[in-house]
Amino acid sequence: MKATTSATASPTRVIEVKNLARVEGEGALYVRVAGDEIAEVRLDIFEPPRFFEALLRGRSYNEVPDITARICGICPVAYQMSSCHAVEQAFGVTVGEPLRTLRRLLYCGEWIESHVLHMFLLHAPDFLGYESVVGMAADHRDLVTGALALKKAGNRIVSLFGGREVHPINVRVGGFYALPRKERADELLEELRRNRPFAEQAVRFVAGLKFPELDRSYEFVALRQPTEYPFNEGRIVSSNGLDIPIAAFLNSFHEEHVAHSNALHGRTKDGRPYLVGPLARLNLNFDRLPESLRSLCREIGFTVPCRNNFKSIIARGIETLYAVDHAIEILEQYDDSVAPHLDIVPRAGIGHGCTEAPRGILYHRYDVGDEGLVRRATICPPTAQNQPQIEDDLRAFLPQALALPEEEATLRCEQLIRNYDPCISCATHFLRLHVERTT
Amino acid sequence: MTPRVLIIGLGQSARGDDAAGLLAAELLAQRLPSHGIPAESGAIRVLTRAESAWDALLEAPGPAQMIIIDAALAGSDWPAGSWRCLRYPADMDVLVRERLGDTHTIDLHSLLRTAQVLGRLPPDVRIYAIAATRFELGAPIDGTVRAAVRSVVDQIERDLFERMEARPCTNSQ
Repeated sequence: MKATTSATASPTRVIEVKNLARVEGEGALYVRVAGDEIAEVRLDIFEPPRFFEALLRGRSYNEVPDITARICGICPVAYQMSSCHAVEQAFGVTVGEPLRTLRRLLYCGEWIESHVLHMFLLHAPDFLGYESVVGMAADHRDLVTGALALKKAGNRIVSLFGGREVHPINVRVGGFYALPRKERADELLEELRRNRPFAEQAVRFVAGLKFPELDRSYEFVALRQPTEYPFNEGRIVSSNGLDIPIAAFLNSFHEEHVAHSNALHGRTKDGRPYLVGPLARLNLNFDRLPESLRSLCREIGFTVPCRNNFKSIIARGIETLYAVDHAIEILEQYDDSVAPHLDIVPRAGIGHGCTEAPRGILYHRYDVGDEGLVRRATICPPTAQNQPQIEDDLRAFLPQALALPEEEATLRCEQLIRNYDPCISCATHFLRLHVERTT
Repeated sequence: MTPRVLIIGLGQSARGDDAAGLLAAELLAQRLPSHGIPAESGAIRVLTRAESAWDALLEAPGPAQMIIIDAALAGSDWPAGSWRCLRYPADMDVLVRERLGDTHTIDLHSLLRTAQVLGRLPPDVRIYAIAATRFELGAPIDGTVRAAVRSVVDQIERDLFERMEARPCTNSQ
């Protein structure tokens, strides 16, 4: 990352970060400060729209999981799970055990790989004062090696049950195309057991980081299930008392276009920003964690409600450990003799799916015709939902950040954006922070 | 199975010439079967994301060779459509000077330096840098860059299957 700063006696102050390599996607941040007031904050997203919803029209239902998996290289399982559940609902199909649990297993793999990548390769350097993971690796060799090995275990879950590591191909409406042999699953189980101690060590490590002050009255939004920590099903709940079925998502939330962003902005129907992602999930589902993890949280001093999103790195750590334990539990019971999928008979209908992607709830809606062809698709990804909240957080945080030296102020703003692990797209990364001051 | 050779093509398909590395990786993956190496055999692993390389780098023993293909900004002495083969870490200064790839989740420099710091860098690391100028969103890949991709793939193929052990990589074209 290169940062250039110009600060003169003129009323205009510019901070520019030309290459930010630890955010996924293309964006710029514009801040206008008038006197002591933060007059305008914009997270400009100029990543080009990719029109997946239009691309899906006229395609067969059985292509939907593979097409939507291409939306993201880091969270393709989330797209597959949300789309499968939505299409299955349209067809009146419910996937029960044991396939339901194996879908949770696949999701565990995605959470592990995505969360560990973000925690240790993208976000932790901010907290430790390193420019990137390179410097961190030199001083924390065991930590980085352990993180990479844990991420690898997550990758292996996805590649074994998803068919390949990136953009899995083994997921279909109704279940899986095939299931791996028990011997392969047992090898994976051993790999997860080997990495479990590091997953716990990782939680303790991130809990010991120094966190900037931030206390926001977030409206947390997440899925909630009767007994389990949420992945694939449940009701959509919020910290403001919302409790709705997935099918009612569009009655309570909407997306709007804003001039400065190619990504839509998600808001509540009455226009408020809201927070989705690990911190929201954990706040709303803390009682769904196993007692062993709640005990660990008490031990490290993590309590809910937690309204400092800089601590989302702790939430990711806890969810990673949960995913490791849950995957171990599922693999210990794994039986490769079960039918890999239900038989699907398409019918006309409308279906809704919402699952917990690593970055938060991912809502899909499909209108499917008699012949199983998609007539209309709606996809609301978590980063779009979080965008207004990112801008809101920046407005709240900038007064303390702007009191810092220019370079540090810039770094803190970037760190705040990275709290959200924004997945603006899957590849290029340029973010410019432009602060304009007027008197 | 630990791959003997790890090939990583980097880039962004929506940004014109930045797709060069991805195209090269795809082309190489297509050609492997003609050498009796099915793409999924594991002996030669072809990737298109830098962070995916970690899985292979963490295995023991790791790959003997890592080949990276990426677009780089062309310069006055290095026109678009030409390419260079750099060795890492020997050509580290060139790598920095030519401003190779920074449009990836984990940039190339971070991948290599971190692997080096962790003692996971394969003994033979070659970076094929394809000079390019057109990186705008939605731009098509330039014809000269596309030709360079084919040239680089031909060269890698020769190195891998004809005289990999006998000669160093050809430096440029």
